[in-house]
Amino acid sequence: MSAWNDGNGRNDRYGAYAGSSGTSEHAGDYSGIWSGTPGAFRRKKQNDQKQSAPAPFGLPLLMVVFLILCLFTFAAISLVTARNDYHASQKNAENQTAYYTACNQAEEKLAALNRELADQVSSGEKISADESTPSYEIPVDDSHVLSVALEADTDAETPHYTVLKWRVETSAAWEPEQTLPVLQLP
Amino acid sequence: MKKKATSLFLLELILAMLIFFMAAAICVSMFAKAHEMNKKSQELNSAVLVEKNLAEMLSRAVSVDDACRLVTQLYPHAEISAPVKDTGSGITEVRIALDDDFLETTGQSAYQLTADLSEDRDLLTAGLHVYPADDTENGTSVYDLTVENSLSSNVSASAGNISDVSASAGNTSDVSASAVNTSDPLKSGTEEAAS
Repeated sequence: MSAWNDGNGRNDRYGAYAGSSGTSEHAGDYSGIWSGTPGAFRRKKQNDQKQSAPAPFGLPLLMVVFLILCLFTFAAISLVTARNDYHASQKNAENQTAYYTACNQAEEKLAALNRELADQVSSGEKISADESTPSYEIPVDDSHVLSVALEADTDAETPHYTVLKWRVETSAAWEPEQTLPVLQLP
Repeated sequence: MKKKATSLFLLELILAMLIFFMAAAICVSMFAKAHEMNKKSQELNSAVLVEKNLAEMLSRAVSVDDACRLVTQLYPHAEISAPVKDTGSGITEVRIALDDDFLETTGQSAYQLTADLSEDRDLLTAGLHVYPADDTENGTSVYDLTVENSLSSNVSASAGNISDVSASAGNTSDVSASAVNTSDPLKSGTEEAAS
């Protein structure tokens, strides 16, 4: 039984309980000082409480760990987002380059066809139906082609081809994706 | 006992601060890298957009002179140099000063948009480049684009009647729509189905 509690929930204040019993049985460790005044007993109790109060060990470290976790999380998120944005920008630039490369090839072909048409008209050759409405396709990337359709205008001062169609079309049939590459097993 | 606890607490505090500063240094470098990458991607996006606008405008040109006229409509303060005939290439260089937002400026420029225009066998060729203003001499451009344009069809379209011009305008819109569709196959499919 503790020196502070008599077992019935009553706390021993100022050693009154021990004093009333007249024995040192309930005083426990404090029996040695009970011979002194009640004030000395109170000071001893306060000193014990001061010594047993936990020092704030671990709290700064805990705070630092929390802060570092926060910092790392935000830094990682911003870095990953920026990297994805940069890859998207590069992909966009590659698409533009591929489109204009295809356009350049189509323009070169159109210029060559215009020269041929001018030569044919000047030499008096007859233009066949296929030659009057030529069409061709230039690949843009794996799944797109630049489709061009032309029509010969031989009545103009300078014979030339008029562009009827100049459009990027999908070359592969569109298939909806049924799966997502969540986990790739070896 | 009390003195020992205080010194331990101080030691722990110093240790925690040391760890925190080391981690903060790593995190700050990660933030700086992310900022740099973000700036680069914005720079690339804007350069692509500016060059695409100019390319679409130049696709309507009927000659180098006409191309210069069209460029000055879009960028009134563009510097146009005379073609270098000595080298035989006959390249006309157009320089446009751009600010941080890729808008034309007459003051301090952050970027420079250059267009090298040349004409050869009915084909107008334009080499478009965007350089950072402080790196023009080194030749490390943000984005390069080469555009070719058959002049015969454009000459006839511009000299033709109203229906020819409208057809030409229609084709131009098709081209720009296709350019947008390239990056969006779904939209491309939808618009093709609609057309």
